[in-house]
Amino acid sequence: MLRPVPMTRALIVGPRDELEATIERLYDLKLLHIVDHKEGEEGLEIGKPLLKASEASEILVKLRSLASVLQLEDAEPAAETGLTGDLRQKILSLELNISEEDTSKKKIQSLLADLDRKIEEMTPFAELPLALQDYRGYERLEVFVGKAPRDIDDLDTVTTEYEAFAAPGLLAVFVVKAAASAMREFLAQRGFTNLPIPAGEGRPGDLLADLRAEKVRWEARSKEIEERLTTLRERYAGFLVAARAHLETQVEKAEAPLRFAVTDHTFLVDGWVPTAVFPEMKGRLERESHLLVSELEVAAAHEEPAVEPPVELRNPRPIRPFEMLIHMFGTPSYHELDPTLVFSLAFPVMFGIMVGDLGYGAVWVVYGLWLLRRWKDKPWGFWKNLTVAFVWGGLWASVFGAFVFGEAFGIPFHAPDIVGISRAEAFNWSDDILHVSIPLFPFLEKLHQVTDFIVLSLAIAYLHLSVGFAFGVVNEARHNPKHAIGKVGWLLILTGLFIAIMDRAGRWHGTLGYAIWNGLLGWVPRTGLVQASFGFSAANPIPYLALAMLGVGVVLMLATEGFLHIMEVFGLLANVVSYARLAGIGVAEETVIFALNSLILTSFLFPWIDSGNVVGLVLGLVFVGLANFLLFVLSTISGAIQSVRLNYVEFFLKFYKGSGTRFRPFGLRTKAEV
Amino acid sequence: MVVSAGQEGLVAMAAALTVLGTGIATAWAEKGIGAASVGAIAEKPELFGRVLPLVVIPETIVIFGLVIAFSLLSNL
Repeated sequence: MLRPVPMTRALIVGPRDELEATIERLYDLKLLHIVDHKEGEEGLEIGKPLLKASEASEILVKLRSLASVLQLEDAEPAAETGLTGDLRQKILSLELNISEEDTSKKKIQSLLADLDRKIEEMTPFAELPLALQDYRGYERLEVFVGKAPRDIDDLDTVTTEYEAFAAPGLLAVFVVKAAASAMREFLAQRGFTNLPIPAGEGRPGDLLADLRAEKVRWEARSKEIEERLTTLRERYAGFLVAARAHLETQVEKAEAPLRFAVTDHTFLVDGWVPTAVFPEMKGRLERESHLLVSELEVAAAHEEPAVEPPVELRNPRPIRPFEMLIHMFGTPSYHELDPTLVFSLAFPVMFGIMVGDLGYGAVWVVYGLWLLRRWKDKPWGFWKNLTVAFVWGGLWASVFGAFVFGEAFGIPFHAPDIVGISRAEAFNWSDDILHVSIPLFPFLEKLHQVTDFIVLSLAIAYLHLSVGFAFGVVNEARHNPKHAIGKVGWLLILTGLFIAIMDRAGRWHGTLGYAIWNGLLGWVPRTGLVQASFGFSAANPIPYLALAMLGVGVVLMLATEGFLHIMEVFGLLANVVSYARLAGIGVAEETVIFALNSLILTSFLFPWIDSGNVVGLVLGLVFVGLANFLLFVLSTISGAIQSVRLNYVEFFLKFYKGSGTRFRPFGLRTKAEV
Repeated sequence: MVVSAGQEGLVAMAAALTVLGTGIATAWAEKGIGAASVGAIAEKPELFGRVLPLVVIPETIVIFGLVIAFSLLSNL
């Protein structure tokens, strides 16, 4: 679970006349992750692609352009049996057909755009009672035609030597040249904008009708072509998709020799195979052909340069979807621990704390499971993996909502134990909705125990980060013992800080800090340093143990990692405090839903309860639905992002390098690569 | 720290200023990252998952503000 699938380095050597057969065999086996041979390495050249490569890739290019014309992205492939006969011939004739249609389609589209422009130009002129030639050819007159935002009627103030024609929003003014510039200025000040006068002669209304008729004609043509393309798509989509997959396979096989090393008479393939299946592969290849398969010695991890095998993670099915989120950050290298297990616990727990509501959690569990059922046959992509993560998160949100925070849909199970609160604040499931006392009482009320919530977050920070440092110790131990000791130093510093923080938080009776300080941390000797100005009074001094841990930790860290890392102690403190976002998001969301609930309750639902106002009930329920939907979406987004962030930034940076390559055996193609 | 009667208002002001300042700082930082991220996503939509956590990195600043504000209001 914490280690990837063990890999064996295999070297396959064979005579060159068996090259093609070997490629076919390896492709069918789908077991070998080929390590590309580099030109000239160890005095060996790379192979040349098989002859069929260039022809296959040429057809493939044509096929891809066809696929983009027909928009085939999500078409289902036809059965392979449809690929008989001369593939090249079929595709070339299809290309002839389709590219002709495509060219006419594009020409008509540009023609239509042209017509649209002309129609737009002509439309305003059709409103005015003049023919197009009337606007042109005057020696003594200037013509202004354009849009007027409002009626302009005091043209007389400029000159009397003019004639004007108006339509709603439009104005055409004919004015003597002598007064033209004054008129232009006058019009411009009133928001008048000039329109270009279209070319041609005749009445704009008639011309417009002609243009529109022409447009209708071309649109009909365009539709015809569109229909023909649709028919072509329906008829050939399956064939084209299947042919594309087939050709891509051909090309991949034909180009495989580029990844091999060759001599005059032999070829060598270097690659990684899962150790468990290596003997089987070796047996099959050697039995069926004249190949020699041998296991290569691999330099151990601490030797430089370490040879990094590709990584295939192996985790139990329920947490496998979390591998996606690990790969998103970086695939673990072969020699480090796979953090998926911790991630698959930490992500949903943090999501659960931030959402912290039985209602929303339950909705995610039900909705997520329903989605997964619906997507049963879909391949495991981003959204499907994420949905599994949300189902886990929803589960934890329900647990925290029920047992820790005691609330569902933003409404608490019981009224908070505070006097003098408003009716809306006291509204709760037990008294007001179910009229049955729910036997679950909140351990922590979000709105009234913010400090406790922050303390809870810091405790989770300690747990999470110390696991991170422990992983770091294990990772470094086999690689570089010095750095492993450095990580132990960090773990001590973290523990010292945590003890000091909890000591400070545990000063008041009845708080969560008090419970942790006297419960979980009850073993810490109480004698210590009094630092009243920092709040560490004589009753709660900083324990010498914590100081010792900090001191030893810093010394270990300085000795192994260097002086400059002293700054990172503050960075670590910042990392710990950063987990307070668990409380921050939790409280913020609770505050928003509480505010919305209060508004809806006092405006709509209390009137219904008090006086049977049905309108209030209907509106109230609608608004309650909207508010909860909003919060559901909001808490999911922020819960997921913040939880991913805590894992990526605070947790992973403590130990995780994520510099590995994924295991991709020759012959196994993912959808993304197609 | 003991707050004498009549000075609770100042403590509340201090808490408010902390959240205000850190909130603005976060917004400012996220503005640049957000714009750059949208640009990156427009070029390569598959970066969405990687970019999302980057955008929220400066949110730590306002979390610090929140913690300080609550420490001011409740404990000191």
